[in-house]
Amino acid sequence: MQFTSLEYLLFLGLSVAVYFALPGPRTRTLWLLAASYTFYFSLSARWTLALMAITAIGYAFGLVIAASGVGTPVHRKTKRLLAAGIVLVAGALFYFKYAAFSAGLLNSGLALAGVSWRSPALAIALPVGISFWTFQSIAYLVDVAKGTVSPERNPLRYALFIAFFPQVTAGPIARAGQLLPQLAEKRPFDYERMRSALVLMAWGFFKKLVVADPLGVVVHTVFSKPHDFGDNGIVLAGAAVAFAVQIYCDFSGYTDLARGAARLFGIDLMPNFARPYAARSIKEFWRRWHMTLMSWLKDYVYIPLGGSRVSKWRRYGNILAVFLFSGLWHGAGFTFIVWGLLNGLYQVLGELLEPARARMLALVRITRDGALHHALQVLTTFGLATIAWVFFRAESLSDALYILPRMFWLDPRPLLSGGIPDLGLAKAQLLVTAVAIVVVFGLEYLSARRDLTALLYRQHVAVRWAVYYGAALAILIFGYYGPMSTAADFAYFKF
Amino acid sequence: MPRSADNRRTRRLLASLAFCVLLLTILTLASAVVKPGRNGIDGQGGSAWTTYRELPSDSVDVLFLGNSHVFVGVDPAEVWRTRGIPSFVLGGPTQQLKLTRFYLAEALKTQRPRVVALELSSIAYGETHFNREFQQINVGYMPLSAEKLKAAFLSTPPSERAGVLVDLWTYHGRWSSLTKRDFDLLGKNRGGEFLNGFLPKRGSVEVTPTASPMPEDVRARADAALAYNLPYLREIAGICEDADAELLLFLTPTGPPNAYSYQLEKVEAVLGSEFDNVRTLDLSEPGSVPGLSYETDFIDGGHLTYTGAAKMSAALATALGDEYSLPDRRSESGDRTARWTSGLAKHDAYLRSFGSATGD
Repeated sequence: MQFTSLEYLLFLGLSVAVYFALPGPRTRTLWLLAASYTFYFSLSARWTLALMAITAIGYAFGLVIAASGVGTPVHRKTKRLLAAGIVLVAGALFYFKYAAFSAGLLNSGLALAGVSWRSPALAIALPVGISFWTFQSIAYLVDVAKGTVSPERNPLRYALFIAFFPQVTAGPIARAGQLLPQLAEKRPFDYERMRSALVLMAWGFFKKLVVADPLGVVVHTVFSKPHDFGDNGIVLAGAAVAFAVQIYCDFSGYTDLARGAARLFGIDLMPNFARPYAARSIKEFWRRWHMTLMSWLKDYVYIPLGGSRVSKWRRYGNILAVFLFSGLWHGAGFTFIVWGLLNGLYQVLGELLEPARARMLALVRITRDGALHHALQVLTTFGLATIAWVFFRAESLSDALYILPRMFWLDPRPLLSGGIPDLGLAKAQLLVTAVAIVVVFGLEYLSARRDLTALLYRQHVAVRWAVYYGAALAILIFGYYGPMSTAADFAYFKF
Repeated sequence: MPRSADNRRTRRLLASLAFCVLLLTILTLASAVVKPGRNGIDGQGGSAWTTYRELPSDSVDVLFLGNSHVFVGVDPAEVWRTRGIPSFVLGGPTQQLKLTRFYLAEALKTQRPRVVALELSSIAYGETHFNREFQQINVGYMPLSAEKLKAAFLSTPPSERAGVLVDLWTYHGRWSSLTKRDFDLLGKNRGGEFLNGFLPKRGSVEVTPTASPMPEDVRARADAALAYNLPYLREIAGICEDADAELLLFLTPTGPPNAYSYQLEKVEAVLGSEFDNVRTLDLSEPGSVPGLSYETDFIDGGHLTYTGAAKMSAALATALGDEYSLPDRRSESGDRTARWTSGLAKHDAYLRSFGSATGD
């Protein structure tokens, strides 16, 4: 039951209708929990028990940690309990996500050392969303230990906090202090909230179906066989840029759908994106991209490592460690490790080279506050992010290293002589996707300057309805879905 | 609650309802635009529901059902020309028998045929036999009804149900190839009424009629498919019995060796003892269709050319007339005869131009 399936829409509609027909928070919690487990079961039946087990561990450890005495600094006994809870939760994540990768590494190491023994090959299926709900559980335990949130004593509410179906597959990673109180309240039906939820979901559908999925076809065509396009640097560069747009529209589209669905129940999930490609530095990019993961990494990895209150070089080490961690979180593979480290390296180098950049700007007389400098910063940041995305998307490290040097060789001759190669999409669909990309980034640019939804709501009903119907038709007609497409899952479902 | 809040709530509820109704209307119209027309004269065969539903009620004596063998092999105009029997072909491409039962139930809502003639080669389709595109045609073109929902839920895999029920889901990708005709919502499913569900085919290959003994593995597969399909055949026979219709299970001529005749004999043995209204007719045996040429009357091993269909339909009409004592309606006065007479003229003119297009 994918977010973009008809079954999901029917399921969501039914869940919302019953939710508001129920009298109190207790029955609503029970209903939402049942709906959440039904949803998860439909996606990952065999791993529903894993979700339940992690939930039980988090709930039990939350209570025992709270009983051992909480506050900052954390007591020694509480620390031990917290460590045990984290080891159990993170152990599950390690087992499902990294055991096979680690066994492969171990075997490579053994082979290099000339040892004949080999670890058995492991083929472990990954429970959907495990990286998200384990992180949410760990954050909860740490927050309880610090005393920043009270332990949740209602097991059903805690289970719902972990398994709430709009977010269980790919976040946003909720914090207990933000989500649990909302789950405890009775939320009355609110017309305005419903409307804004549906508008947010429509926007998510547009980004996913009209932009991300068709672009995914192009990206797959090139990245699955990069050698076929080896002499065509423009196509390789175009595919890299296409992936940068695809991953954004896919994940932010998913997030809009998740937040919109949660809002239908009167629950606000945290935002995950704030126009990341408008960032003027990689540091700023990571404050705007997957914000709930980055704030998690900041609070539960970077700051415990010493954060910024350490020596310059140690701080650089911390940054690299956080981004290495981020890379590994996204996937057990060298491409993700390089992608993470590269993003960390960008930031370290960005700081180290700051004086040289300042001197260069002065030399060419570009003012820091000017539009030209701003545009150059945004373009550079997008370019650096796109280079890093090549590692993220490539099917192997060698593929990435094949693509990278060639995508800078922008020789137009192959295109002029042979035309645009077959990229898996008809020209009309490519054109529509290009227009849709302009619409997405154009509207996001404008929305940073004024509240477009508020502006829409102020219009005459005929204008509003025309916009709604136009959007619905655009999604349903131009969207890449159904049996005529090969539409993919949301990219972040596999994490 | 204050009265103004109540009024506001009622207004919003009504506005929301109006919004949904209008949205549904727009989406229905958009679906109708992107859904390809199906009129029988532009090469698409089967699922001729639009034409069928426009027939005057109770105007058909024989209803032909089955897969592509039936809508390519049976020409109702030839059946009329030979014995004056009004008939219609309501087959569907690669249609499984578990779906045919819903076609029959839906068809009997507007017609009361004396004979339901089911071409039985679809008995070869086992449990795993499925073609998404054909299923979308078979179910997608059924009129919205309980039978269509049953066809979607009881004869279609869960992952394909949205595709057969929601036209926009299936066909929205046609937006870039839409033509002016796609917007002609009233006309695009019309134009081939005179064919009565028949799809003429041309071009020929030489085929070899069934002769050699059936290999054991073919027999085993045939038995498995038979066992799978028997419950559906029983259901079909029961529906016919309830509607006071005879059920004729027949086979069209085919080329290479296959198990159809073997299966037909088995079905006859089983259903013949259970139902009084079931008979069989095997026209796949060489020589059972007078004048049929295995060199020029087939487009492939299982489908006839329009010239082969004419010969097969004449043989079928003779058998139907003799077996069931169906009246010759040509001598009757009234709208039906006039409609068939004018339809026959259009049919002949159409096939003349159809044949001359390739010099047939």
